[in-house]
Amino acid sequence: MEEKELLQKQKRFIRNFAIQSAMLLILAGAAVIIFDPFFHFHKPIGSLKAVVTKAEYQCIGTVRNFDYDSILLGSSVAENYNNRWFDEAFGTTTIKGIKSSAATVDLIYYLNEAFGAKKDTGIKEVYYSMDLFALSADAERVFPDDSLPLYLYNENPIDDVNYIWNKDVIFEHIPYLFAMTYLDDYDEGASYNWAQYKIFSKEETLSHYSRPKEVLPMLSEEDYKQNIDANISLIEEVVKAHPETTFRFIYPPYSMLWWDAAYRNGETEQNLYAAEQAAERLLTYENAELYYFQNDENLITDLDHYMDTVHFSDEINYFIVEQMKEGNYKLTEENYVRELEKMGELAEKIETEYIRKYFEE
Amino acid sequence: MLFNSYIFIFLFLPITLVGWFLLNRIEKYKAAQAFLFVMSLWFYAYFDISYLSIILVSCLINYLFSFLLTRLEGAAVKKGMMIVGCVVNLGILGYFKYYDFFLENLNALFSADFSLKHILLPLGISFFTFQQLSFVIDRCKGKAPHYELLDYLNFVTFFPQLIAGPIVLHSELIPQFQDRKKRKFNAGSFAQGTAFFVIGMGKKVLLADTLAKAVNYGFGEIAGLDSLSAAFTALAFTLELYFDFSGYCDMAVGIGKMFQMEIPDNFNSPYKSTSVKEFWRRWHMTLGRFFTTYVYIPLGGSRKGKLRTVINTMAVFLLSGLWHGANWTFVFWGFLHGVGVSINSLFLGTKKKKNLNETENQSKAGLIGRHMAQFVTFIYVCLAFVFFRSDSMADGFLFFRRLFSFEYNGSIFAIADAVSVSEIYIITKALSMKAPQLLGMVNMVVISFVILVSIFVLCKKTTREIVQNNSWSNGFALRMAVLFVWSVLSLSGVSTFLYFNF
Repeated sequence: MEEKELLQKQKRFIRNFAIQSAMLLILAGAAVIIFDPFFHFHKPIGSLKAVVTKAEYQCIGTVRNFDYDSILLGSSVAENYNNRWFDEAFGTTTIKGIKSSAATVDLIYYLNEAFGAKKDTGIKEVYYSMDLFALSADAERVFPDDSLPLYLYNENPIDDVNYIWNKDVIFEHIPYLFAMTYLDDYDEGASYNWAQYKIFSKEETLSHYSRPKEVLPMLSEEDYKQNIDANISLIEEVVKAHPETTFRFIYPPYSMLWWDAAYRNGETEQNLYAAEQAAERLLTYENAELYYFQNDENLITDLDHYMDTVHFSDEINYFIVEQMKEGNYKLTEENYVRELEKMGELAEKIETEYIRKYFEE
Repeated sequence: MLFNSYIFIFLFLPITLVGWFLLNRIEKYKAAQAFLFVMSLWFYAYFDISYLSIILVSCLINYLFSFLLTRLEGAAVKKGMMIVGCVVNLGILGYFKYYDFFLENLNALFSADFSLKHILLPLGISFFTFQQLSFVIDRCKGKAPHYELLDYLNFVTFFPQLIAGPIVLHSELIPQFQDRKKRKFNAGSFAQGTAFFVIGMGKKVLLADTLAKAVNYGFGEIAGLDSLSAAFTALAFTLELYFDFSGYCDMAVGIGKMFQMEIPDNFNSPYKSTSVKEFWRRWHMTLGRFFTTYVYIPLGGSRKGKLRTVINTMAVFLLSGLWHGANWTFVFWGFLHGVGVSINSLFLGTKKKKNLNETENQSKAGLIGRHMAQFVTFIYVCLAFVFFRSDSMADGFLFFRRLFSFEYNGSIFAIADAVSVSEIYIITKALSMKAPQLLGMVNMVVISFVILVSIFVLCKKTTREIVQNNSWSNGFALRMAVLFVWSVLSLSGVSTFLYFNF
């Protein structure tokens, strides 16, 4: 090949390569922007369903871009609520702001994002699954952190390339969105639901419980007070800032094994303090309601409701919503001290009676 | 910054290329070099800005050495300067790379309790230290001139070869920076560079990173491996390492060509080698060249008898092992290669000279012998790499115990499962719903396919052969575009968050 001819071919190669690459990249990017399986750019288009199964990737998009007037916040124990149960009970349109192992900071982030996204219409109801663990978590932690796909969280359009040119999104998540919409009976209210894949039984629960060998001394108030108070302040700030919104706080019912582990790790007093302080401070707001399910003796001592120490079946989630609708299990300024005392007594009873059925001292 | 990243491909590289060629076009040659230097520093500092001071200090110290040598005369002085230069460069490398390793061994040997510093290893320090060491030695021997500062800084920091080699010599790169004819955009060179880059990126992103999933699983669960899965893991790592490193080097060569700069090849089909000695003429060639030129030959090479040859060879390979990482696993890997090369030097080298002529080599028996030799060499290299990848010597030996346990526990299916590729997600998802019992077999087919593709690529032409003998057809452009876009799409993924507790 003559040098001139070769150079011409190489120039044509550069041009063709550039044009073809650009076209393929535009095609790939357009598919992601249009179908948007993580709802980063918009809510579901056309007849596509809101298929929501990956909280870390999809939660922020749903909070920012969906049509809703209420939000359910919580950790994995809240994932099995069906949004429609709340809608039917309280006349709302609800989405979830969920994060596994969520600290208070994480949930407040989603909550503030929701208030920002709905600044024109406002938020009608906030259903807040208040984990005691989250109340003891670091109140100054940074969220979102770089363990998450930050390109979906930040406002930088340039790093969206991580999303629009993403093989997994194109080959997995777009087809999954279509399959769940047209080939499966996907329930949009059951976002993030995992209960369908798990077994709830006493045997299963016990198999997941690794009981602490030693009983540690009870932590003193100064060990946990500062963190818990700071976390409650974070919640309180939002409740105070949005008097037009009703906040319904749910204390989820952990199994007696969870309370046993808390006792053996010296954390019973810490958990009772967190629950009590939250009640004492939040009950002072007219727009806050608290529902306390943790001292339901029949419920938390029946391990057939659980798959491990904390995660209960979706039947319990449904039960909780039904009871809230009826106004049961509600804490008031008059009864909260007594209800928490009952929890303290139950925690003792677990150690002296219930747990002995399964473990010898 | 990595070559295989969005920011590099779509921002850094285009800006740097445009800036370089524009400044040269308006004949601001020094400004172009300064621009390239600044961009290279950005490339380097993108990982961690604190690295900048280390590379800059290292460059300036060596440049000062070079300057002092213009003022000093006499062989003894120059020899002294060479020693000081080596001590300073190796001292910097030793401090950052081997300080903790040294103390750990002292602690273990003497039950001492020296506290470790946990120093963050500056990226590419092994490469730029050796690059500058070769320059200092050559300067002291009178084989290198004192260059202008910008030429020298461009030589050390030129970003394509900065963090993972190849280890380029001053005599290869600086004359190219000084050649004004090379400052113009050249479509031929750019086309070649593009092809090099795309093929390299495909090797790295599509093959190496897929194989890495199997390897990471295997080496993360050594105790659970059986003979089959251990053999598979070792094979997968051997392929992964080659595609990872040679892919990265292809990208480096390609980027160099985009600038009309020739960067030397680092690999030449190493797994086609018929002996361990030949393997080292084809694997990480610029490192081999460094050790041969600056360690092996000064020690006497093979000129002082068989025993000295073996001692010199072992010294080189133990050092080479240590260069790869501050862990006894690397030293032992180097030792195994030293043994292999020594055996080759002592026995096979002479036999080859006596008996293997061209005709015999091409005869049927010669061909079978050649393939046998390739196979045996590959197995040896593959097994030695087990120590290269293991976190500790204990892990390495455990891996071998599992490899030769002659047990079967089905762990190969777990490895296959770890290599999930989203390209066939629809198939695997459908199977998991309709015929989950077939899923394991499909995963096995997938990893077998990846291995077969890898072997196919190994057996075909090298990247240089593909690029240099190319007809630059429209079909080739389309294949390159598809490979490029597929690789770009593979730069980002969706992780599974495994925690599921409260």
